[in-house]
Amino acid sequence: MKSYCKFEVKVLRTEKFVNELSHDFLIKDIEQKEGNILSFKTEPASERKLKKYLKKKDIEILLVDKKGAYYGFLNIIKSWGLIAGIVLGLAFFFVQTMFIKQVEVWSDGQVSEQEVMKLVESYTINKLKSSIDTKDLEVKIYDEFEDLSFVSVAVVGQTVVVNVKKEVKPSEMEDEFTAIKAKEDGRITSIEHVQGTLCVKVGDIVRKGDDLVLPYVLNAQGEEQKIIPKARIMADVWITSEVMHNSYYKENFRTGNKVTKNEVLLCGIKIYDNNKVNPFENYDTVIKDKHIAENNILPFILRETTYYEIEEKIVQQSFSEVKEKIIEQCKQNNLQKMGDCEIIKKENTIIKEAGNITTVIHTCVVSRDIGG
Amino acid sequence: MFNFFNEIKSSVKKFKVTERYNIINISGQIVYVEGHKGITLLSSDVIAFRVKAGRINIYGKNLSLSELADDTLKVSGMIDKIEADK
Repeated sequence: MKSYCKFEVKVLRTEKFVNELSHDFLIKDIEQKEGNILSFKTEPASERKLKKYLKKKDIEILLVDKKGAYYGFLNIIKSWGLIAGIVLGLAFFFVQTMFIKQVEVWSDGQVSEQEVMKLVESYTINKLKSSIDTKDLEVKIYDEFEDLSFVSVAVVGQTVVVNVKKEVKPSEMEDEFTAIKAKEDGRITSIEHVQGTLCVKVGDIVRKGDDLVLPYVLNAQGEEQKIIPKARIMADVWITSEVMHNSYYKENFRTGNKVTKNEVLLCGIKIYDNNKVNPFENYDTVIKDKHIAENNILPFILRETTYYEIEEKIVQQSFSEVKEKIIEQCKQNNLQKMGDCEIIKKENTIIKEAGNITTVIHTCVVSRDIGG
Repeated sequence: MFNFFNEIKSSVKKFKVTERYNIINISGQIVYVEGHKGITLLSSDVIAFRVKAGRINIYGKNLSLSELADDTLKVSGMIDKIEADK
């Protein structure tokens, strides 16, 4: 907003006064009011000079009105209380930045961040930044927590940032001594033994869960020394699947008779029904819903319920008609249980007949690592 | 420096225009004057001022003196007529 200073003065001869004033000042928005009152505006820079001029000429000043950003700024500068408040606020802000306000702990997830934070907070919160010895803090953290491979403490702004990492021990120093157990049933074909005590040999048949390598060795004194067992044990594993075939079985056939019942629904409420009754004792039901209107303003649904009469029949199918198909099905089932790139060493199919029921058992032998 | 009034004066070859005063009437709402010698009458219907050759009267409604300097002035309002008295 443009700044100006508005004067209201009382003069007898307006035109003469205005002419004289215009020689020295640029005046704007000159208005003559009733009672010999003249109002005009001038620039802020001319205000003081103009006041002196008016005083010198003995002109009565009725009103001085200052408006604009320039005077607003001047008011702020003259507000000592406001300035003092700003200065004090700034001073307080700068003083408090010299103290620590919070602690941040970064870890690899294996160290308890809460405990580290608690320890560090006791030495740092609300203390002067210059009084904090980061090296000393690092030593304290090392002493307090075991198994740390890395600790760093740094002051960043008003935050103490602590970075900790847990020690990574080689697996031999880990306290996990469990035996190698068989993952599946099989006959052991080869053993690559690295460490531990073997309790099987090539040719042994093992069941799932049997111990293969024990987690200790006997030293010269005959004492057990704990060790992590390592070995690669290959075995022939049998994969079996079974399919049963019944020469006589019941199947439902549709006779061709059907009855269709139509209903019209509006928001789930039935508003029309063609009253068709299902006459069949044994039947299949097929329900179809169709929207009558293309839009959703009239949500009418036509529901067609069709009842198909069915009849139970006994079907006879001898095993010899489907033998190849069933054997193939067994083989496919076995292949599903095998892993990628596994080679079938041997396969065998057994057919057992008992009355109308024929069972096909197909067995594949593959080589797998059952331990390690 | 380019002066709009001098350019116009020099373009009129018929007679020589003397340097006395310049008036521009903008849309009947603003009158800008150069070369005045002082206000003689100031009211909302008439504003009159002296020039070298005589007097100029501006008639209208809601007239006000928007700006007044030593040599220039600006009148705004609904201007009906500008008359020159010798």
